[in-house]
Amino acid sequence: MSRRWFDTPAERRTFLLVWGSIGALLAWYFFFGPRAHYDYNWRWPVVWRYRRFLLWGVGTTLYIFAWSVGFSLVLGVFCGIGRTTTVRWVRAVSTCYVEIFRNIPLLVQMWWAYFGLQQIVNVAVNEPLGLRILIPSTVACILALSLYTGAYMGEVIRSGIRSIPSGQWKAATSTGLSRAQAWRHVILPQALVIVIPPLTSEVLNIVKNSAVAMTIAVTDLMFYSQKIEEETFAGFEAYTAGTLLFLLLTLATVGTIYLVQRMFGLKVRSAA
Amino acid sequence: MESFWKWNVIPENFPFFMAGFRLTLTIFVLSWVGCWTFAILFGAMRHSPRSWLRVPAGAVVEVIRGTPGLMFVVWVYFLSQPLIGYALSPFWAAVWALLIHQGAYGAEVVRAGLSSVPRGQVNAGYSTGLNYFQVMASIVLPQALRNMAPAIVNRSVALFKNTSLAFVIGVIELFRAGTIVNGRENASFAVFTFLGAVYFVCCFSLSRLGQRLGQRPGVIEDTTAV
Repeated sequence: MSRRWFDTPAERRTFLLVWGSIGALLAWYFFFGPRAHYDYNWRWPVVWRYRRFLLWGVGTTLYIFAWSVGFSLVLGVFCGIGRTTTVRWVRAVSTCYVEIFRNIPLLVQMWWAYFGLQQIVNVAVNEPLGLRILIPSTVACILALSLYTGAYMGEVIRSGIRSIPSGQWKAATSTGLSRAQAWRHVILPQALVIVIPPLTSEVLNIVKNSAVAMTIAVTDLMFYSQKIEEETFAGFEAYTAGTLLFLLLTLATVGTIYLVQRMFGLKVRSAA
Repeated sequence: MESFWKWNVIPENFPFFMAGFRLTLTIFVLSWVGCWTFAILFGAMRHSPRSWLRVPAGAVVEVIRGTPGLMFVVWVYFLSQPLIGYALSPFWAAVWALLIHQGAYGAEVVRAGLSSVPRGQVNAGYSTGLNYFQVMASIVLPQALRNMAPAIVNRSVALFKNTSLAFVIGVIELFRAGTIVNGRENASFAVFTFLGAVYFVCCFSLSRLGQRLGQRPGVIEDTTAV
């Protein structure tokens, strides 16, 4: 919808009235309101002083992101196939997987993968064999994030596969392709192209959800934002910088996916 | 071996878990109400043909949707002090943060719901002399709500899962209650399996409801992982 900003002078008057009064109220609150003389010591330079922390954080977040995207895409494709096959037990297993991992908060899953799994490893491996294997927090984080997002991607891919008309199946099998060949050469190439826009938003969710990894001491962007806050007490500045960097990461991801789609000449629809 | 998994930790700390669960439910209910107020307001603004309403609302919604929920919770908690002058308590900071964060996703649902009703019906309503609110109440919303119902349920599931994020700023809701018990008893397997089971029962029954509402063509599906 491309329109001019205002169709009539009355509309411009309404705009000025509404946003002007909201702006005036906010300005009044900050400068003359009951708490106007509250003294917050703004220290934006700390963000620059601790830029290394933020860069390390971005690096770790990207590392987690890369592994999780790979694993969850693979999981999602298998799960999408599993949810649409006629083999009953495969369908049951993948349905269980989707329902369990979609209905438990990522936070619980991550703590389960980090602390709960460690206890299993202790009982099953460490104590009988006298070893001291510790699960690294990055591994636990990538595991939980991939399983969580894989379940969502599986649902997206399932609906993509469902949208392929059944005539395609019949045509594929009547030309003598086996079931695996039909999946590989006929169904999946079409389905995966259809689901690119919704998959894009799932990929973006990995970037956002990776912030949860901070709680199990993965040194990601969120972790380093908190670290800056701990060292300088400039919480607002630190978290604002972290938030802006997250926004930048999601925008960069959208941009990359857009470019990849253009490269392959696919039709681009809105993402995010 | 029987004591290793420490399942006895769950019944022993049951009242503590229940207190946490009650707080989780309180946060959920408060932010659910606020979330859909926010969503209706911003969704209606984004649906508006007037760009001076549409563009600012769109900017707000997109920026919020681009930030992680956890970051948002922490940010609201720390932002309250310098910006509004009051230090919000962790509980209210969590409620406000979850409300705004999920409200931005809800606004997209509302916008899609409003767009699912053809413009012609709105114009027909106006031409019979109804005003904006009458058109909305008697023509658009009854149809839009039917299409939005599954998406609203899915958003509610997401909101319920996200209440666990309140733990980072120190609200002793169900998840933090679990971590406290785990810290004291060192029974991570039992505690986190139990927590997962509780969240699963709540969210699964909700999303079943959503699936039951969503078996028609033309409904809006919103199954995003945040």
